[in-house]
Amino acid sequence: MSIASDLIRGNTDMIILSQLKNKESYGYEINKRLKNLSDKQFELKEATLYGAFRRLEEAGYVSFYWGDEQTGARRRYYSITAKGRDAYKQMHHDWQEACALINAMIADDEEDKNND
Amino acid sequence: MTDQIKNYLDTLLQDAPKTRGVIDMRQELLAGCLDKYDDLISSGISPEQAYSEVIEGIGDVNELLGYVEKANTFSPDKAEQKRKKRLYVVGAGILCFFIFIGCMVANDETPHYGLEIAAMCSIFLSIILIIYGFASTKVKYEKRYDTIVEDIKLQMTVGKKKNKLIPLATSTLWCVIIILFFLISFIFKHWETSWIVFLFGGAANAALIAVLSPEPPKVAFTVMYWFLVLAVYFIISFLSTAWSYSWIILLLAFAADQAFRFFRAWKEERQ
Repeated sequence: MSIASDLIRGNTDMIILSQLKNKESYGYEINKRLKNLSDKQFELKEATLYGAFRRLEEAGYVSFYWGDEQTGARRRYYSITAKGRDAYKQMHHDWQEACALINAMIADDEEDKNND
Repeated sequence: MTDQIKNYLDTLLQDAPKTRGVIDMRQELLAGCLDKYDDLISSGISPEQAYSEVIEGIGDVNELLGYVEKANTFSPDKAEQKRKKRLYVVGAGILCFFIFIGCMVANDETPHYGLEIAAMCSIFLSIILIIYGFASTKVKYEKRYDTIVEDIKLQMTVGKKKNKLIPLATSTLWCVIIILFFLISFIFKHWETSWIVFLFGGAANAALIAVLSPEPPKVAFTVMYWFLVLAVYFIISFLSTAWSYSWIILLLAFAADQAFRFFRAWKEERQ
């Protein structure tokens, strides 16, 4: 699982943008959704998640506003920007291309083994 | 248990600088931790278990602090750009000022209406360029201001109230100055000299900021000094019409400023 989570962590930005693309959200909600989507197998560390938000913010891919929660701490809500949507499309495209290439190369590898 | 989470975060961040970025980050982390804690509790997990899961889920805060610091620190490239911009804008302002002196000297020898207009235009342009040059490149100062406000917010001192007064006080001051300008101009009909009121206005503005700020910026005194010097220079020049000599006042003022700085540095050195 540790190699898999490293692979996933390398794509944190794309995953977060994909979560924000239909609905604005805040840190915990996104993380919980990821946990459910991954069938409780994966969850981002808080520091990784908020670090990614800062990175996306600086790149102009997301904007944020503070919620007005009356109890507990105030949440920071994020929404995707137009620039963020474009970046997401590009990331998604790159990811699919890389996946296809890796799959092709692995398939080749296995064929080689079978040929040996 | 929620207090324990708060305490844990505070200990985690105790060495971090109290900048806006860090304060925001703490707030966001806390919101996330409390949301998670509440969620775990409502799913039937014991408070102790929920607490340890929350703490475990935080991860490496230093990684996060790295981002906050990066976003907060001023990139040297940008600082360099700003410095260059200031150099050009203020330089252009000083150039305009010399054009003004040239026009006044020429006008002394062969009076011409065009020269007077050129002189007025160049001095206005000069003042605008110099003020704009300094005002548009004060980013570093703003950052510090930001931190001071945050610190004050944390300590809940009265300083915060004083800070709020500044914009109100300065806008009132400028209204009064503009009214004064028109009053003086219409009464004495000396439009070519009455704008000096704005120089006194600039000095008064700097003085106001120095008085109202909980931590008076040193630059306020310098700004005040130079506005007064300029005002004295123009008053003497217009009264004596000796434009070809009166610029020496500026040299003297510069020398006095340097001497004062030297004296202050020398005193600090001795202590």
